[in-house]
Order: sequence, then C-alpha cells, then structure tokens
Amino acid sequence: MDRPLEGIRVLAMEQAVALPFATRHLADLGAEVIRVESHARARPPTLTETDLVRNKLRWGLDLGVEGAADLFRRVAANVDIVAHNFTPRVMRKFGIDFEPIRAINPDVIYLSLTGFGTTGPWGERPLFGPGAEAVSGHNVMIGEPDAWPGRPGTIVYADNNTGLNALVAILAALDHRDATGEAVHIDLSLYEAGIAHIGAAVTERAFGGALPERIGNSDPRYLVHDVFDAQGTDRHVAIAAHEDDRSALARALGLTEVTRDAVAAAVAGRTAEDVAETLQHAGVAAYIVSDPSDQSLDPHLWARGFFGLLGEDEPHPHHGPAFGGGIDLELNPARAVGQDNRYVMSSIGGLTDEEIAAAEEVGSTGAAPNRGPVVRPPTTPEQYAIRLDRGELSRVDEVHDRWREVSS
Amino acid sequence: MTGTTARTTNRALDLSTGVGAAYAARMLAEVGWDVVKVEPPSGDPLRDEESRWGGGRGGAFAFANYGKRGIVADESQILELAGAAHVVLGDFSPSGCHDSQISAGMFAALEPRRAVASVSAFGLTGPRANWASSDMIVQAASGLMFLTGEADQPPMQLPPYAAAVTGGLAGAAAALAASRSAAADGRVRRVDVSMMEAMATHTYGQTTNYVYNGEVARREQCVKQALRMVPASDRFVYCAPGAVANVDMRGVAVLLDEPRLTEDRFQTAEGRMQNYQEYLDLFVPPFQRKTAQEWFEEAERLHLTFSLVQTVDDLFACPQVAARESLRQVTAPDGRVVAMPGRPFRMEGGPPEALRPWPAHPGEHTEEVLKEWLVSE
Repeated sequence: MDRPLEGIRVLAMEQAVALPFATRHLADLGAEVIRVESHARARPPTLTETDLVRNKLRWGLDLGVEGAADLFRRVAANVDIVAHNFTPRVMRKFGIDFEPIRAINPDVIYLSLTGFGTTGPWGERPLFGPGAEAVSGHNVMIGEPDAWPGRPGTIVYADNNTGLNALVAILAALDHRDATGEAVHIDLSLYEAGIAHIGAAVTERAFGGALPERIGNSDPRYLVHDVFDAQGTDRHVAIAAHEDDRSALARALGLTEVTRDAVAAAVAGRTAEDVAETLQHAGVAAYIVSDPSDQSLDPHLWARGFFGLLGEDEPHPHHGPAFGGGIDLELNPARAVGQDNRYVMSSIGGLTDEEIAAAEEVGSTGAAPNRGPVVRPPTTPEQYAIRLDRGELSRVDEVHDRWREVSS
Repeated sequence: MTGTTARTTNRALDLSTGVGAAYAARMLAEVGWDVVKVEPPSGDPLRDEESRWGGGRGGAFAFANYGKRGIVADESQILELAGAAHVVLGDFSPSGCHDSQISAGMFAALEPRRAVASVSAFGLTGPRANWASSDMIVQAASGLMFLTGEADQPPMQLPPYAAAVTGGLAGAAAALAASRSAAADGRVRRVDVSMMEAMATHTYGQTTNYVYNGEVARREQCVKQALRMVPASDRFVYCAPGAVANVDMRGVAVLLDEPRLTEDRFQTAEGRMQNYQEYLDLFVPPFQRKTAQEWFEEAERLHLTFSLVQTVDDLFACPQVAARESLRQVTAPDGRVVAMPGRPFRMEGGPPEALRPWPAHPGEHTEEVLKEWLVSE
C-alpha cells in the first residue's frame, strides 16, 4: 500500500479511541491529520495512547474559551475532512456542526462519530465502546451458557470496529467529492456499527433462526469446535474440525474415538504449539490461543511486516494498520499537545501573527509539555503478586525483548 | 482505461465464498459501486449455512452479499470481466481459491483497471499462509480470544464471523485506498489483507504492554474495575459511571440510593478490588428494584453513561433502531420481508447505498452482466 491520501488534510476533534483509530489509518495512508485537543486539560499520555497519536500533528485548542470556535472555523475552512467524536450537542453549542462548516467549506467531508447517531430518541446520549458492545447485542453471545454476559477482550473493540467503518465511509466520500464537488455528512455511530458487526447473526434471526445466546466455545455445525487446555499454565489451543476432518484428527492425536473428552485428554499432556503444528500438518484448523507474548513473537506476523518500530531512543514494535500486508510503516512518535499550533493556524488557517498572539494571550490556543511516550512506572513484585493472584495477568516475563530475535 | 471519468459507476467483481471478502465487496455496494458476485455453478456454500444456534439458513449469505448481482462464469469469462472491473475482490489463499473454484495464481493473473484485493484468514504470504482456518481459529491466532471471557473461564469465542467482518471492513478500506492510488497513476495495485492482522489490531494495548513491560495480560473479571453488567429485574443492564475504569462511584450511590457506596474505599478500581465482596453486596442487589430500561433512563438523568445489554430480538424492538431505520426492511427474493442491518453509516450527500437484495440464486444476472460489462466496452 502506498500513500493515496497524500495532500488530503484532516481536522479531527477527537477523544478516546474510535475516531483516533480511524484517523491513525488516514495518516498511515498519507493524509495530514491534525489532532485538536484542549491544551488546558492535557493529561500525561499512557503508553498505548502513543499508538493513537502517532503520525499526527497536534493543535492545542480550548473550545471553552471565547474565540476558540472561530479559530476552529478558520482552519476548518481549508481542510478536506472535518471529523469529531463528541455528542451532537457539543458541536452545535460551538457552532462547528455540519451546516456551519459547510457554509465556509462547500465541499467538506464532515464525519460525526457518535454513540447512537445524530438523530433519534437516543441521539443525544453519550456512549462508550464497552457499552456499545453490550447494547448492540455482542455481549449476550459471549461466555458460558450459565454465566453472566461476557465482553470482547479489549475495551477498544467497538471503537476500532467503528473506526474501520469510518475509514470506509471517508474513502468513499472522498471519491464522491472528487467526482461531484459535493459536501458529504457522514453520520456514524458506535451502536449501528456494532449492530452491523453482528449482522450475520441478526439476519439469521430475521430468517427464522434460533435466538443467539451464550454457547461457550461450541458450534454444533462442527465435529469439534472448542478451546482445550494444553501443557503449562494458561496455555490453550483452539481446534475447529468438521466431520470431514474426523479421521485426520483421530490419526494426528492418536485417538480411537473422536469425542471432546478424548481430544482434551490428548491435548493436556502436549504443548499448545505442538498440537497446533501437528493438526495443521494433518490439514485440521488449529492455532494456539495466542497471548500477548505469543502475538509479539508470532513469526507469521513478523514475516508479513505487521509490526513497525516506534520510538526515538529505544524503538519497540507497534502494530501496523488493520489492512497490514507489507505497508512500509513509517511510525513517527507522538508529538506534544500544541506542538504544531503555529503551522496549523498560520499556514492552514491563514491567521496573522497578531491574531495568533491574541489567541495565545486569552488561552484559546496553547501547548502542553511533551511528557511522552510514557513507559509505565515499574510495578513492585508485591503488586504483581496481587495482580497475578486476581487473574489479571497470566504471568510477567523478566525477559521480554525476544522480539528482537524474531524481527531480525 | 484508468482515468477518473466523472460519474461513471465503479465496478467490483467479487469472486469469494464465505463472509470476509464478500463483506468487503458488500461495503463497496453500499457506497454506490456496481458489484457482481461470481459463484461456482453449485453456489456459494454459505447459501446453505444455518446459524450457530440452528435455523436461519442463508442469513449470513444474504447479509454478506446484499446489493450485488450474481453470475456464474468460467475462468476465461472471469478474466475478461476482471478487465472491465475497477476492483476484483476475493480470498486468494489456497483454500479460498479451492472454495471459489478458481485457479491458484489468480491473484497475480487478474488485470482489472485498478486493484485486486484479497481478504483471507492469514494473508497470502508468511509461513502460515496455507494454514487451515475458521473464524474462531483466526480469533485465537489474533490474540483477541485469549483476552475474551472471564478470569475463571477458558478463552471465549466472539460472536459469529467477528474475524471475517473485521477483515472485510479492512479489505473494503484497502480496496478503496488502492483504487485511489491506481486512479492517480494508472498502475494496478494488489493488496493482501489478513483477517488475523485486522483482528490483531484490537490488542495493541496488550502487545505494547508486553514488549515494554513483560506483562502477559489475560481475561479479566468484568468486575475488575467497576461492575459492568448487572441483572436488573428483567434483564442485564450495563453500568459504567464514566469513560474510565478508575472513575468514582458517588453518582451511582445516588442512583441506587446506597450511601455506603460513597465510602472512600470504593472510589477507585483498586479499592473496589480490595473490598470486592463487600462492594458486590452493596452494588448488585439494588438493581433488582427496577427494569434495565428504567435504570437506563434514570442514569441518563444523572449523567451516568449506562447502556443496555440487548439481545438480537431487542434490536428489532429498539426505538432508536426504528427511528433511524438502522435495520433495513428488505423484500427477499422469495417475497418475505425481513429486517437486516443496512449501511452502517448514514450519509447526507455522498454516494447512494445499495438498493437491491442479494442474488436469489447463482447466475441470476449472468446474461445481463455479461452483456453490460463485456459488450459495451
């Protein structure tokens, strides 16, 4: 993939994850992304936030200060895409919702990324990613049948999926604008993106299928479809075998009869890696249930160039874009809040030095010190012991730079 | 051939079976592209697939192929149609080519106007490109499954086709991006999207913490930071006082009329974990007093971001879904009217959304498509 969005400018009033994840991809595709955030309320970045801020310019703007919305409009008049993930009420209050922006930028692409959409009885409600997974129907399908509803394994699941929808919508809107000169307002919600993500299950139900509910790891359409405990602590292998795979599975694991218990017994004394390799050699779908350590060392991901290295002094692996596949990753470390104020206001917004100085004087624009990227302070052995005991962590590895060997 | 002639409808040829690449192609249909699905004469096996829970035959096929015309074509016709298409999509892995009954090597051989986009389980390169897969296997490989579920449970699978839909979205984005590059310079692009990588992007927080700190994160109790899903009198309600786990519980104490929840020890995630059982005893029982919907409304008045824990049937009855027509009323080829997810985003201005249902049977539009795409060139 090259940089098809070279020359496209994006002004993103963004927070949390969904929109930053989308604009990170726009930046990966070559767009100039300006992240707008309050310098007054800037917090020290966490380690993982560096992934959401990388490759972006940063403009410190405090919309609560009089005159700040004017500055926003001055810049918004000269970009291709304006995007936000605040509630519709916030954008209206500052006069930077779609209509006022279109009035000054007639072919703007404007993305409203909200909880429930900009209309409807729930349109003004806030919503965060984990709540979106619950309300859009995911959680009732995750977990053992007799357990309470489960959750996807990261708090960014709904956010990222919505971000991918945003990416598709923006790319399509750009093509449309280029062909017609028309402005486009994209109205995307965590809720509707979440519903679409389980769209197959929704449609199957509409077609008269049974109500989706928690079913553990089983899937009755398969001969074996489950996760099995392998040798070691918290090591597992996933196996998905069809009826056609019966004899291959039996031969590979030395079973006389294929039952769940027989497979479990055969797997228990072997490593997850050994079982996965053996079954794949026999043509049966299996993979270790990859933990964060396995993932960061996965030879397949490294061979495909999924990871890039980020960090000036001591580079570490960071994920590439969702469409992966050999993009030449250019991962520029996070810049400080407000580091690009002058460029944004002067070169894009056309503000004079006097206007910028006046804005700085009243505090509508400003900068926050660069504190990141931040590596979390070391946790004490006692704290780790508590976290391990609670089951928050599987283990803590003293040596965790083996990725250097895999990467070379 | 490669120009950006205004207002000509872009064409996509979808050679896939299953959900991943098909969903990518459906997304193109949802932004105004003319999408044609090529099926083997026996049809995409997904047409006969029932749901994980039984029944609902063909629902996944309808969902992944909404808005497309369907044809049956031999390999020479496919090559010819590809030349008339802007983008060709498919799963060009060995197993994908086998399922679609197309030759291995098709990925390199196709010459559309702009791009060939593959969406496969593990991608087309790398040591495990040929590994057998299922959606759950991709979830396991991606790192997401290890983290899904409760601390005292094994890793849990996600809802059906989670990896395929995520890969499909990444594939649609890649196809549009590649098409844009090719439109600019006339060079055909080939993009290779892996569902494993698309799913792996969800876990950047956990891998980053590992490579910097050595922490192997795992499944957490949903109660770790603030109890998130609690049974109300009728069904579960999702309660999170705010955006971050470490938020205090004072607002919830007011909502539940339980002043003891204002004690300092319950105001941080760590404090709640250290006093877990007492916290649960105070927090969980009051929810039995009202329905989930009532808690949802009351929390809104107190500016707490609660949510509902809805089933698929709840979606069909949801006032927000109805008001925004998030579920599209579709007349199926057999005359049934069904509600299924429409375009996941609304657009004011912008390209039209898909306006036809999925192809009723393999080859339904063969004649008209061959005529339009090949004769008029």
